[in-house]
Amino acid sequence: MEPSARLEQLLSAAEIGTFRLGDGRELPLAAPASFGAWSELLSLLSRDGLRALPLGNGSKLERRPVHSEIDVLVSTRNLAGILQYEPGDGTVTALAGTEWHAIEAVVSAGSHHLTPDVSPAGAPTLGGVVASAQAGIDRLRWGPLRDNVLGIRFVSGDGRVARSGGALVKNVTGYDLHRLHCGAEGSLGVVLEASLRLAPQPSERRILRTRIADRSEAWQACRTLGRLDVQPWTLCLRNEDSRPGQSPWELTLLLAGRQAVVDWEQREAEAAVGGASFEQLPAEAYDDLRTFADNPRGRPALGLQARPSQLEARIEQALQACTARGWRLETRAHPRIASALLLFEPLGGESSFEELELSLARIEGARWRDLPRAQAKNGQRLTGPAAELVRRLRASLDPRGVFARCTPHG
Amino acid sequence: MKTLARELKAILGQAGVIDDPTRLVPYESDGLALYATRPELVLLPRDTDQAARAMAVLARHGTPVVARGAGTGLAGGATPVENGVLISTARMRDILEVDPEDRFARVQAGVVNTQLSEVCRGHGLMYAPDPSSQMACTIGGNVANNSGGPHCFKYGATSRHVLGLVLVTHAGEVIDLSGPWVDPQGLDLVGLFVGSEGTFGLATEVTVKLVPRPPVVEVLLAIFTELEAACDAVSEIIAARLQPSALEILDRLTIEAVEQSVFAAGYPKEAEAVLLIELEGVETEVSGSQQEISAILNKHGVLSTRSARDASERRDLWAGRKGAFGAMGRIAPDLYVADAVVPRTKLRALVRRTVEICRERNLKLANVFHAGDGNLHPNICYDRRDPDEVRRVLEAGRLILETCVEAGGSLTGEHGVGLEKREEMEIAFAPEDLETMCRVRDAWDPDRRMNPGKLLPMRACMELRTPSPRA
Ligand SMILES: Cc1cc2nc3c(=O)[nH]c(=O)nc-3n(C[C@H](O)[C@H](O)[C@H](O)COP(=O)(O)OP(=O)(O)OC[C@H]3O[C@@H](n4cnc5c(N)ncnc54)[C@H](O)[C@@H]3O)c2cc1C
Repeated sequence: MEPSARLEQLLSAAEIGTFRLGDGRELPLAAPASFGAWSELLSLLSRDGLRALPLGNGSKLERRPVHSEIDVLVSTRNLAGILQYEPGDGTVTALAGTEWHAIEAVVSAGSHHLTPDVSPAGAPTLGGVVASAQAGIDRLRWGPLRDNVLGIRFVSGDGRVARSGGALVKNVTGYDLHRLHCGAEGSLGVVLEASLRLAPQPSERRILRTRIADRSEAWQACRTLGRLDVQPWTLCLRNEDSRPGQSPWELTLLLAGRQAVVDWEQREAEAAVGGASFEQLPAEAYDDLRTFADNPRGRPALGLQARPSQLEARIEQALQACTARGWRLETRAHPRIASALLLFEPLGGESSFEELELSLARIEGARWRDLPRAQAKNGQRLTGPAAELVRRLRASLDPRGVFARCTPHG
Repeated sequence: MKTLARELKAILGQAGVIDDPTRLVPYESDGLALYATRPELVLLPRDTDQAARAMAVLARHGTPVVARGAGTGLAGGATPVENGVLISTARMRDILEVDPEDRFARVQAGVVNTQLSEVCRGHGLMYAPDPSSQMACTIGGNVANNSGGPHCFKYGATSRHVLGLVLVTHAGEVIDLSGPWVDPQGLDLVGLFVGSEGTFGLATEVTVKLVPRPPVVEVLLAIFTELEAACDAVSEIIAARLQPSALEILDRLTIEAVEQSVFAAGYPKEAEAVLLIELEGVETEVSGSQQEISAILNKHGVLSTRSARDASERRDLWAGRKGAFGAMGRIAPDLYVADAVVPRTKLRALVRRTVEICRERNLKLANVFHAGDGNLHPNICYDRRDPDEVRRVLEAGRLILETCVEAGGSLTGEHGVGLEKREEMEIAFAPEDLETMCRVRDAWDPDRRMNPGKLLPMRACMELRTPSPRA
């Protein structure tokens, strides 16, 4: 029997549909509306040896290649709603298909800030943000997503619905399986519900920007700012075209908190970066800043990490590789987090992106996201006992290998 | 055991293996003295390589293994198991690397928490998690228990500060995840390991994040004539979205004990409760928060608020808090340190209920807790030579946990499950949750030799046959 026919036996018409992946494949989609239905669905897929790819609204799939064979897409879109928002405690729990920005609207009315502050593009869901461990523009202040996920409920590959953690800001009861699911991209199970720690909403938010022509001066300014007692929510650098003289380095600082503190931080920052005069951007610029990690034109893009003191040098090496192979590089870096998004555009040269990837992979001390060949060559993919452990972990949560992997990590 | 000891001595040297029964006695218990088991051997490897070779030998012999740091754990996590071997990290105390520019340090697992902070001090940095036992407990123990401390209110518990680990598996293989990268590549094995209480493997090296020391620190001592009013003040500080770095409550009995001890901090003996508040950051931030907090304290009938005049007074106020458990030795021969966590909106109700539970059982209760995190520590005084009192203590402990779980809380905020709360896991979790945790544990340790009988209830996991501590 076709996968879609089997889904029809199990789910109501409202829970079944189709979805077209970025690569053109149209697949049946199942979107159960209850935990019980999720459990039955996964039991069925497991029994019948079908492969499933979990998604929320599918916002990530438009940007990422899907490397696996897939029989059916399973979506949390029918599992939406806020289950608990406790303003006095600063925690929120919602079903995984709830749109991230719907949660944000509710908690901000209660004077809370929902972190990570991610781009609204593609209407991301709670489950999608958690599963992809998405970083927001506020990461420098509030840390990575995994620090703020307090607990989850999830369904494993064999249909078992289980929970770890809870809606408590401090809790060490049992294993932190929620940490394991953060960033696992649905490869170990489908996140059905999650509880998050909330941050206080700042009474003042200020975006300051300066443009610096010289690369090393721009990075030096970031280092100087990093040594101050100022606690920005964002300190990022953007350069649209890293070829010499093509475009300046745009340094953006997001300050937030108590007004008196923001005033003080602004003065400190301006004094420290000397000649560079900051321009204060209008409030609307905030929406633009949130899209810092978006890639609307779908250019080839890679996430890069390095030690903080080495990020500049690694990006410079990436630029040299681009120049040598006829590619243009756009840099969007978070110097103090030690991560960057690099976007590439061909300049009509001979080299393919695959060739460029191989030369990037040779850069010592750089760690790339979504670069399978490069990781393998660089010895960055897990091998030996670590790889064996990962295999056993996957088998413990998905014994029949139901979940397909969107990205090629180990 | 003789052959095993011989093989291990060949790897670790004579000094690296303790098999003399009299020298094994101090290792029978950790900080939870209710449970004691004599280990067959205690192993003291010096580094990852020695630890891995020793673990490979233990794997070949099918010997159960319990890891031990300083043995300050309060849940029986480091209690040895029958026919098992203890691996202590006491000879793994090297600080391997401190990188002030990239703000991380790499240390051996046996490094003591304060030792690390001292080394970083000169660079203007600190390792933030600060369990009250920090003068003795090890970074490896902190990792295994995902330990907290007063300042975790602002900085978060250990898991937020671990950037990498070197692990030795049940089979004696080495997994190097030492980083330091800001994000895991693929699955977050490090994040999963933190808090696994020695059941996944042995951590031999830890890479931790260092944070800058704050420019301004202010410590306030707020004095209350009612414990519940202090709880309400904390709930309101949280609800007002204020962000002090620590919010700690000590009740009257604790104050009395502290003031009679070497940790005497000048807490007023007539108070029913004191609330210790630390604010830090830049001057403007600290003074702004202080004003708002003062208003809240007044609203809740604070008797008076004192602000530490200088660094030495700040140190004294904290020494009183951090020495509180130790000071209780003056008021009872034994202390049962309970550890539960509740939503911060429910502090008053649950503290009141704990007081009632102990009063009903004629037990002496002292409360000292991380109020800002909703992390209660009802400390019940008892004498372990009195079996009926022990029974009442355990009954009260279980009832307190049940009450907290019913109110949306959980079994442990920082001390871990260990042996102590293993059976209570069934109150907090459904069978499917526990079954899933068992499967994950089996993925790390298919032989079930790593700290068997801890963390997960016997029934749920069909654990190795370790006698139930309550039997
Ligand atoms: C007076 C006092 C105050 C305390 N205050 C606090 C507090 O404020 N906050 C808090 O969180 N805790 C507190 N504790 C509890 C305790 O100190 C912590 O749990 C601490 O982290 C334990 O560290 P340790 O080195 O003593 O570990 P141990 O007690 O030796 O071991 C604890 C657990 O970790 C495992 N383990 C130890 N080392 C390793 C390793 N290298 N690899 C794998 N597993 C390992 C053990 O098997 C055991 O399960 C307090 C204890 C006391 C006695």
